[in-house]
Amino acid sequence: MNYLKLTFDKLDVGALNDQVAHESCGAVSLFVGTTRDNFEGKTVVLLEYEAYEAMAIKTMNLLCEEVRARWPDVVNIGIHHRLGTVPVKEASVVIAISSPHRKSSLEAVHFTIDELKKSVPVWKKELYDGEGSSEWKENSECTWSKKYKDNHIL
Amino acid sequence: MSNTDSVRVKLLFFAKSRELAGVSGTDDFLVPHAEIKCSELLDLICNRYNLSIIRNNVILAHNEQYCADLSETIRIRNGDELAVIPPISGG
Repeated sequence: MNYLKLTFDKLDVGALNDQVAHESCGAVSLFVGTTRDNFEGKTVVLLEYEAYEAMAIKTMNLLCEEVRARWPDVVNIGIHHRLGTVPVKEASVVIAISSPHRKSSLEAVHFTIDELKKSVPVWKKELYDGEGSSEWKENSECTWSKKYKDNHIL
Repeated sequence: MSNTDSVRVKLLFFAKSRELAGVSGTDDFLVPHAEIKCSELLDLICNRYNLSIIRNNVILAHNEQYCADLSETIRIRNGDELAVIPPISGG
């Protein structure tokens, strides 16, 4: 099963772990992405997330298919992404994957977070301390970001 | 020729493109040709919605699928959904 969710509520790592755990599995591997309080010397006070929700879920489903093609023994996949205001230190994304043995779920979790950052349409804005300044972030993995283009001059 | 017929589509903006456009979308964006090159479509949208400064760092999605290749020609129907996708930053 795939358990995919975008939610404005606080993410519950334990609950997703329980959902993904399976009696045939000897491993649940977890990745928890959390919000950092600094960027290039600036203090981040708040992060705002938004998504193209229908497409994000669709893209997560495609990602699950890709994971299952690469690691056929994966049993359950859970991807929960938080939206709206996320205070510093809290989880913005949780990925949980179960498999009979740990190798597959560990590799699959790594793959899933990297691919999510490349392809799932979710955006994050950092709000900095003082003067109300803010910035839309860009994942360096995203092929149409300035950072990616600067590092991959054609 | 049928490919010269204009079509009306839903258009969505996200993140920085939403802020620059000043709207989150419209149900009534007129595309001049049903068959159109992605780059031409992106130019139309960016000129109309104040997105020229981010033109080179956004892509389009057509019915929830990325149009990764700007030189590609896509076929659009009435009621289709287009979205402007700035560089993503999820995770």
